[in-house]
Amino acid sequence: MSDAGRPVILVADDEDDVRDLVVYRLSRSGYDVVEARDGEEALRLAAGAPPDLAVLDVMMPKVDGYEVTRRLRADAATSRIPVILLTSRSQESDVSHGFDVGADDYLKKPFNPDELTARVRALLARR
Amino acid sequence: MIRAFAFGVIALGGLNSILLGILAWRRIRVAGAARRRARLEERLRPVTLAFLDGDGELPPLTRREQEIVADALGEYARKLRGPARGRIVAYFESQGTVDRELAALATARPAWRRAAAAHRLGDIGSARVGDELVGALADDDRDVRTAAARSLGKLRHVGGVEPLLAAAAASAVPTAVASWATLQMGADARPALLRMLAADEPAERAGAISVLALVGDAADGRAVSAGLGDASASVRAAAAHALARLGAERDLEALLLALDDPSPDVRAAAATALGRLRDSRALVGLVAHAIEDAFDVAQAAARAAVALDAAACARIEATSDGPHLAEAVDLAQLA
Amino acid sequence: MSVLEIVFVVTAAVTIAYFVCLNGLYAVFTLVAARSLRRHLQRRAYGGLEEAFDSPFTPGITVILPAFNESAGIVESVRSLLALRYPRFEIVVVNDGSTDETLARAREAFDLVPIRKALRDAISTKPVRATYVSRRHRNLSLVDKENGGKADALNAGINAARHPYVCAIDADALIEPNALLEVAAPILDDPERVVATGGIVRIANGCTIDHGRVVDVRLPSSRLAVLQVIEYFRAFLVGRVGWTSMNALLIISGAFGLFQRQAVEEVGGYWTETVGEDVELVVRIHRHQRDRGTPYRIAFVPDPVCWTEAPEGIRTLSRQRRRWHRGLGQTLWRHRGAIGNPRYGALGLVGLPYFLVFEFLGPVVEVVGPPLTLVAFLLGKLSLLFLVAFLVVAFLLGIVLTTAALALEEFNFRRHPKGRDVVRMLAYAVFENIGYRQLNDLWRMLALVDLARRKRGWGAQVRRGIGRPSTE
Repeated sequence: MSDAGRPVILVADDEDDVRDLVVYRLSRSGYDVVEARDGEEALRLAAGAPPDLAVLDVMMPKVDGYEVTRRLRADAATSRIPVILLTSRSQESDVSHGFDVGADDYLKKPFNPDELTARVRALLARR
Repeated sequence: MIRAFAFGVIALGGLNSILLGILAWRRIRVAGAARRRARLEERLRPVTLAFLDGDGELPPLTRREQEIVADALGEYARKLRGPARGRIVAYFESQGTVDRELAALATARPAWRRAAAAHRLGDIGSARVGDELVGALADDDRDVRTAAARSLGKLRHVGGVEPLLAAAAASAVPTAVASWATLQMGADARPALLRMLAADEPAERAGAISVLALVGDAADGRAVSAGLGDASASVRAAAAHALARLGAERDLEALLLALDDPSPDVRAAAATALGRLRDSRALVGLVAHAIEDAFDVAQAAARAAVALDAAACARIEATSDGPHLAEAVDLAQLA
Repeated sequence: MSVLEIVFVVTAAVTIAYFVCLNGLYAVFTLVAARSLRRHLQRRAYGGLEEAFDSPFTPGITVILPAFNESAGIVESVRSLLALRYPRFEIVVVNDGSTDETLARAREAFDLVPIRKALRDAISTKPVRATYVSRRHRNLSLVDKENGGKADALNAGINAARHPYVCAIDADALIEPNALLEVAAPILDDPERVVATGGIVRIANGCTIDHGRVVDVRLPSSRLAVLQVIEYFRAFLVGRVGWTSMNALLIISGAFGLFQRQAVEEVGGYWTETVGEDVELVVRIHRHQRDRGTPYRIAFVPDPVCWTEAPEGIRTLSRQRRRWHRGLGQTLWRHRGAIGNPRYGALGLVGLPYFLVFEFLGPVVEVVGPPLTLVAFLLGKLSLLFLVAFLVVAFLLGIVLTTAALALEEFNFRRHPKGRDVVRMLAYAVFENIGYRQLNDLWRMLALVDLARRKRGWGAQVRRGIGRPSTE
């Protein structure tokens, strides 16, 4: 939680427009958002101050979304952070790979921002 | 003579200076334009995001600003679904962009302009342009046809299924593009695909089956399995592949028969399908093909056999020749 | 007029005709290239690459990475390949009997475990010792074989390939993440006709590389490397785009080329008896396809970028150029029957003759011609003014053409963000035409001598390992 008691969400995506929109939408829905442009930055931010939830793009430079998820799970401090993967791939194997590495949910691009907020809310409520 | 050379030297020197001048001018201009554009984008971002999120209408914009917002919305159109997407369509309709692009698709002289129009219409996402895009599948230019095919997929225009597969069968658009476009329509494409199973062209039947494999369900298995008896090898191969995905236990006999098809594509597909069925009655046939058949068939058969009964395959492999069973057994142990 | 005089005058005439033809051809190519580059960029907008990336119908590609003593860079190369954006691909590393730690490093970094992989026998190669698959990346495997040279290693990779297309990549090359998708674009658009495609090669010296990606494009400090940067622009943006437009593209760089596997298998794979296996394979595929009479296309795509490390030392560069030239000679000799043969269309009538006259024998004219022309002048057969004017025109034209190639880059791709770098390249356009070109001619002459003495083999190239700063 942030100082204001609002849940903190980490959003990592190298596509600026998608990240902008997700950040805008989540901030307006009452969350504090931290942004990362690649997997490495995401991991650094998560290690510094573990967020309450992470929205990760799969295809990111440096470290991809799967690998970020795997490393978050491997570290005790971040292992319980719920993860939503954003994937631009429709193949089933990718979805199952996402769950294999420990993602809680995934959303296929093109995505509906309303659906993203609904899933964020649902995952946060589950905790 | 000398005069001609002197002239050449001056001309070339001049040409080079002109080239250098153009380069310098362009470099400076492009850099300036990029800076100005970045500033404008920065300024317009909040209103664009608010508009996309339904928090308000766009304020009145200058022509230049409109262009930038349109570019941004065009990018978002590709990445979003739901109400936000609807707002983008409404915006482009209100700006007359859809009509402008439709006119370009129908009448523009340069092919690239028509192709760009076909492409943009798909990105914009207005549902009313489906028929025009179907018409563009008959354009003289391959790029226009292919762009139209992709856009039909993005619009999920179900009326496009039959023309798409027919265009692919006639080599007018790449088969992979037509199949992808049909796949975007999901289960909505099923009725048209099932109708296509009776098409005259073998390539149309094969195309329909291969998409049905991805959008259909077990109920379509019956219609697909009839394809195993088709006169065309490509249809039989597509049918065997499809059965591997749709899973139809009752087709065991037909698939075992297909394992001895004259076409290696059909045999390989049948082997893969049998591996998914998980019926141990197929094991003997698969092992035989894994040891004796051509490379691709043997590889598929070996993997299928190991999927059915890894332990038995390991025993057989230890006493038999052929690299394929060995490979499949080793790979299975990796997992 | 004595016989000697006649010889001199004829040489002078040949030299002049040579320069006129060569520069004329390049001028035409520059115009053709300007047009096709513009069209290419227009097409990019609706090229549908994202859709292809998302599609289960996109054909699979096997990326083959031959490695001989690459322990410095093998892990980084494979890592960059694993990050390629393509829906279905596998990587086959071929360890060509390395005597260093290449195999051990790869095994350790990617958790490669021995697997009895089934290999095709489509092309015969030196014996394979063992095959491995990565436990972590199921699409990564390694073939360990006895040393047989690069062509042999590529053939072994083709035998291990599972997918219908194979992409040959140099172990010291860096491929941009989107490059495989882009180089495959002509195939995705027209799978029935396109049998091979090649991409652009750029020089990575001086650039900043992070996690297997070039993140900042800068000119190298080495003068020799800058000259090669310019040379590559001319070769790729003008030469290859031009040849592609008449379907007579003869060179798909060994550093980055994509082939239909069946087309390669049909002609028997890479030829192991040459040091120019990349050129030779393309010529052989051309001939095979023309012999068969089915419509086909071999395309160059100016977008997909492969970064490579250029030699910065004069000795290594000279070895590289001599090797290239020997390879060209061996290729032309093997395909001498096709040169000038109308049966092979633009390839036989224009492409191969051009390579014979201007690329292969060109150095002779360029090295021997000017001195003999000078002698002709001394004998009073040519006026001094004529000679000087001619030389000035020839060099000026060369500089204009080089500048035009740089303009093509600047207008279409603009990969060099620093204005200072562009100015520097423009200045070097002068030295490329006066100095560097003649140096190249000299090396190529030496290659002709090598060929006459039947020299084979690669000539060792000292590798720094890509991704390291060039200050070592």
